[in-house]
Amino acid sequence: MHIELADFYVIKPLSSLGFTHSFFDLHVDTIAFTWLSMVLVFLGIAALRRWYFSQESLAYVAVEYIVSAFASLCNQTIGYLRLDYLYFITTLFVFTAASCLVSLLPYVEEAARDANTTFALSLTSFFYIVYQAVNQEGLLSYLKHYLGPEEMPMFVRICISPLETMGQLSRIISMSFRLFGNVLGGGIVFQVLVSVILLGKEYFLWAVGLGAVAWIVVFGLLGSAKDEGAGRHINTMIKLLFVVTWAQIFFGIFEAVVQSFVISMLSITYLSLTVHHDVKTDEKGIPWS
Amino acid sequence: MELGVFLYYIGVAAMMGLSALGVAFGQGLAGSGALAGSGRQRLSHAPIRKALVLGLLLIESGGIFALLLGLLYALNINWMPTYACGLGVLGAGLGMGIAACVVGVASGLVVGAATRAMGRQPFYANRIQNVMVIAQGLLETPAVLAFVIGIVIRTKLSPTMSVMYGWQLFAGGFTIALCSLGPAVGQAIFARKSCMSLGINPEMHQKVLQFSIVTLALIETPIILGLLLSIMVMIKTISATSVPVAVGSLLGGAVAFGLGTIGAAVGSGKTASGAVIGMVKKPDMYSELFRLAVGIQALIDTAIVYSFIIAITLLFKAV
Repeated sequence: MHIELADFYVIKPLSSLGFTHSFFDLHVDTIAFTWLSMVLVFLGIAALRRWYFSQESLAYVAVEYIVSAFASLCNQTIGYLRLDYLYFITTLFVFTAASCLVSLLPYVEEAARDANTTFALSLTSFFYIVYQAVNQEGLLSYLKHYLGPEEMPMFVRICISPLETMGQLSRIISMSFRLFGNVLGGGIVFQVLVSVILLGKEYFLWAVGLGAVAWIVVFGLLGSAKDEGAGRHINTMIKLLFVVTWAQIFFGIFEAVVQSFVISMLSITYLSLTVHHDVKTDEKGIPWS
Repeated sequence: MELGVFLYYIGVAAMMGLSALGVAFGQGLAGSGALAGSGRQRLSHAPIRKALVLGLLLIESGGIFALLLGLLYALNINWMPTYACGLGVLGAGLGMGIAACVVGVASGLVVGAATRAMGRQPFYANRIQNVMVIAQGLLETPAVLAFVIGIVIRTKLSPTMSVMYGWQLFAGGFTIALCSLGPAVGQAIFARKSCMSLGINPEMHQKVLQFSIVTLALIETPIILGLLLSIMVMIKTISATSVPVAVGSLLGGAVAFGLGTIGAAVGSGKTASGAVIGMVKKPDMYSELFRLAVGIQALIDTAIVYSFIIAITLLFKAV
């Protein structure tokens, strides 16, 4: 069994110029998987656009559900709905989920298994919050957030400002490593389980496909033979294979969706702590402009 | 040499024994809550049975991780373990065992509270079950990360490793063991209260679910930083002239961070439990209580940052 924490295919494009530090490395497979997940997201969006024709279509229901769920999330957490917040957290959620779920394909690993990807996501979230706060209330009053709670006297606030700054900056690290640790842990558990059951992830996924085909054949075409003699044992074996494999895939999906929800939810929570709340809105929660 | 074999076996035994203890105890707590809930309300029997089976399976996963890791250690070695190797396995055993133990008990408390709440509100059993399953999924993080550390220690074992490196592996496992205590306890305190609050006002299910996800993710910050610290301890190259000095600084970092985060996690869990009870009693105060609770938790989290700074400083003292 070969499991490494970091076995990326690394190239050093700037090594001839003297930049040989690991900061200048390119992880080729991470980049490829990131672009693959982006392509998959765009294909999914194109498919949804294609089938978004009537109120009965599945695409309509799915888009409606996701958008209204995130809109109500934004509305409840911040107190009002602004469309750019909605675009940001939905994008963060969809990209993170895609970069975790891309590992269900054979010969592909999670893009979020590289700490660089998750660090980039959390930096994006942090600078988006800074941008919004500075845009709304100016640089000086944004920097007052680093002085601690407003209720305290100024002397105390100046004293605790280094700690507060450290706390704000540690959010970036904890957010990125939360995603990284969970994805890495889930991936390694999956690899070990699979190596106990079968030979490797790729064979495992082929076995899932074969199991699905066998399931359809046995229950669709040979449905009458399933209760007699050997047919019953075959039936039990296929059921077992099916349940075990799909349980693993289901838990991978569950983990990915929950963790991407956590990262987008934490972003919107930190955003709600930073931007101001006394905004007049209409009855749908959209602010007056 | 014999001491190494002794430590190796003790490590594997601790891994399985501690995790089985916690998992079985947690399943007992879950069962007691389910029976109390069913006894309260005849209608709630069928949904409680469904939720109990799901909850028991999810509690069991900590035990399954320990079983897989124990099999990897017990079967997959074909050379005589040295003293250093035994120390590394003892660290992995403590890490996996303690993490799975506390996670099992915490998960069992959550299932017990959720099934009791179902006894009060049988018509909202599915919604309570959603909160329960997601809370259990987030609660499992310490066990998963301890499993990762166990796998890393397994790949680093070799017959020729030095005693100092064995102590480093031990410190890595010990760090993750101590760091898992606080988050599991704090998450259990909060997730219990959030399931109980749904028994009071199940209409708030969606908002309680959102608040639970954010809070559980915030409470588990120490275990994430603990993973970072543990990996840093294990990949550092130490050419120690005096082994006890270096080992003291490594284990001191583990103790500083592990014990320093217990209070922060428990306090965070207590704060959020107060907030969730307030939310279900006054639903229109949701946004205000949410922001206040997250702000207080951000202040509590500074204790974690201090402990982390001290742990990193001690780690750099080991040369």
